[in-house]
Amino acid sequence: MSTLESLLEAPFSQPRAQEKLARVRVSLALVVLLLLLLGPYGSFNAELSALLNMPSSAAHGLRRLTWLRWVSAALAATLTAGFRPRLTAALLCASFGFLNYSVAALNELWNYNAHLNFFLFSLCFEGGSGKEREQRASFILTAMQAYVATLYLQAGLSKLLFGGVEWALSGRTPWVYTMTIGSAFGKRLAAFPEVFQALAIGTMILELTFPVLCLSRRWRPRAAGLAIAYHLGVWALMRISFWHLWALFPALFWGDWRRRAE
Amino acid sequence: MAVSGLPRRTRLALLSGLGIVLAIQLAQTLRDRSPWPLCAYNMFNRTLPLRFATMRVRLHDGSGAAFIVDPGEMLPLEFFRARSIMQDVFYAGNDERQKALLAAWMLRNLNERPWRAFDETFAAARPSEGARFVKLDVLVWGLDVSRMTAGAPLTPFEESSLFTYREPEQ
Repeated sequence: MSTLESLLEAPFSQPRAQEKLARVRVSLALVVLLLLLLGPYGSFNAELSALLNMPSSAAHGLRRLTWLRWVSAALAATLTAGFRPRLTAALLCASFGFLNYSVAALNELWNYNAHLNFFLFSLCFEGGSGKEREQRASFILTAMQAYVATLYLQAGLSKLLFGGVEWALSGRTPWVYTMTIGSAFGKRLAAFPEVFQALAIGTMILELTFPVLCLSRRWRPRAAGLAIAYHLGVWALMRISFWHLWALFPALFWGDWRRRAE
Repeated sequence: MAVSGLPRRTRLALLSGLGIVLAIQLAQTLRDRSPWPLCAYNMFNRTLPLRFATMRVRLHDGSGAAFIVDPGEMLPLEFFRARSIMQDVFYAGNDERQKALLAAWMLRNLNERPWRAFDETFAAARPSEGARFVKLDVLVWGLDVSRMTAGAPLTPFEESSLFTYREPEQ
């Protein structure tokens, strides 16, 4: 098989793709449901939009945030149950996407859970039957994994381009943020700035090598494990968990372990 | 039931589409911009200088106590969004009426409907037991990294006030 044919085949031939995608779908739906129930989607946003003189389209959305929140939560619960998954995913993609757009439009700042919009959109490509259904499921998984790999590459590149090598070597940024918003444990650990230098260097290495590791089916689940450990460490120090990303990793990256064990 | 699977042309189109989307996403990182629904994933990407300015809020309650809080404790949003909004209004903005309205709204929420922490949303600042917040000062603190000591409270080398609001007497 030529290289091009291999490239065209591999993304569509992940083992047990439908089974794995079902687990990803449930994980994703639960993450979105939790965010909707507990996250910053309350009536505050509509009131705030009036105070901030927002563009009318986004403000319009925020005024409807309350019912849209509960409709989205119902869709997320339905998706968790696996009822009409493609239709439910499409509807949830639209409603949750609009919610996120409205909140992001408060001051044109990024949504740190942008990956959820992409993942929900990817689910809309499910369908077909037989081999085609399996291939579509495999492609969706590949797309999600590729998004995650790109995400870490972006994070590492951004630090390198705009923070420079000094970002890693000084460790100043994670140290200062730990001192200002960190946990009690993190603030105690701040007595050892070299720990934060090591953390910063490790962060940049992990983020820049994650995409490369993902190219290997053998290293992909290990890279995901490293990433989860990294995020838990940041959570312990800086109280920033990014849980809505790594909570999806066991289903998205670890499904292959069972096959390897057989 | 389809036995042959996705045609080659379809697979090529799907992969090309995915590549284009991810390339556009990556381009946002080079631009350092995050137009929804794209994200540059540029969180914490700057190397902080040894001296930098940061916003703080001094809240006064009816018992006479004063508290220095992060802007993230003033709004029921993710802390980075709360900080950004407060910077837009109180630092970059020059609409005094908007500042007063926002300040009044924030005090009212802190007193009457405080919120809990979740994920990157900080818990609402709280007054002393039995008291309510009556005044706020939006401040800019100058912080010197060389003077920051683990275990010690943050102390600015300079402080300036951007805006002060006091609740009308009841």
